[in-house]
Amino acid sequence: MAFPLKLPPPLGDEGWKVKIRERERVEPPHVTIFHHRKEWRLGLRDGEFLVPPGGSWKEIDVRVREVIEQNWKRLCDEWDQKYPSNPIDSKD
Amino acid sequence: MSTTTTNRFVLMQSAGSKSKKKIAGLRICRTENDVLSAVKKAQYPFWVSRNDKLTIRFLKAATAHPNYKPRCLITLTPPRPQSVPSLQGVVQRLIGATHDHRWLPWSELQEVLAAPDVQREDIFLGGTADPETETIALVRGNLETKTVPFSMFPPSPSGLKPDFHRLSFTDYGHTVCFGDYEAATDSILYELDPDFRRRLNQQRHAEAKTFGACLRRLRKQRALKRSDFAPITEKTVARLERNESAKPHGKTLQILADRLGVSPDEIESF
Repeated sequence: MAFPLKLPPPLGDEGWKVKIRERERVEPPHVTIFHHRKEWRLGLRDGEFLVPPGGSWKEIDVRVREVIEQNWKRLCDEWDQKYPSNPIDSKD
Repeated sequence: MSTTTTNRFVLMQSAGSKSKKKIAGLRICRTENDVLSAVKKAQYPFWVSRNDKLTIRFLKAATAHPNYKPRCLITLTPPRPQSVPSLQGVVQRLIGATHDHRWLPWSELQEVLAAPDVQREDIFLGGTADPETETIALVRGNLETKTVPFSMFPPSPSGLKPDFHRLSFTDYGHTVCFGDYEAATDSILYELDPDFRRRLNQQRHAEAKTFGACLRRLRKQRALKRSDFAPITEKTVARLERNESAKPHGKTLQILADRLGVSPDEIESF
């Protein structure tokens, strides 16, 4: 199943979600952050926003950022497990 | 495309519905009189009904106003089969007339419908899966229907297979679920819609738009290895992707395109 990063309350109730799905637009590796109708894609290779291009953390709850940073390795491992043909470390 | 949100959608729901909040950009009809009054105004292009009784009222009212033909009626609760031909006569498009349609949760659907058109275009509102033909009809936010084959959703490397009998929609239309298997809407649109690809690629200012870069993106999207293009060698594919060789032609280009499942001139649009 999709990998949802567990967010502490009340972030979930406030509409925040962070996940890696089975079928993503695979390049480059990323995690998707949702808040109601909005979504952001955060690159797992360099920590830069892919969507919106050049995006910043300012619209994202600081607690969501903290959880993502604390679980960065886990997110990378989950991506590599889901997309072994496009691993984080690959230069391919 | 217009970005107006001024009451373009009319939502018909029963008076007993739990959700009483007003949503800017949506006109809510809870009674038969509300429906009659909205039809008389003859200005709303899109209607959504989650109440069969109000759908019937809409049909009767619209029949009495033959010059008003809304662009679309979405029925979240399927209408009586006998009403379907008449409904098809009073609207330009009827969506959701069968029982196997699945839609976003109501609270999410309302917010999405109230959003500006451009923000709704690249999400899916709902759809239906047909195991007989192994196809899925997906209703996009701009109300176009896109049909895709089951084969677009291969099992994940961990072995998780999509369960097409458990189709659902979530994340305000950004995710299509087949049981536990979740697919990003934009991964579907990226394959289906050249305009969507063009818009995304325009956003990638910093990214190369060479043949090699497109080949590499498409190969990744298909989960193929460089060694999967025999008789073209892995080394040749790598050189093409790095733009160290000239853009291929003839047989080589055709082999690449065949393996990627696109026509030769489509590769550079990815």
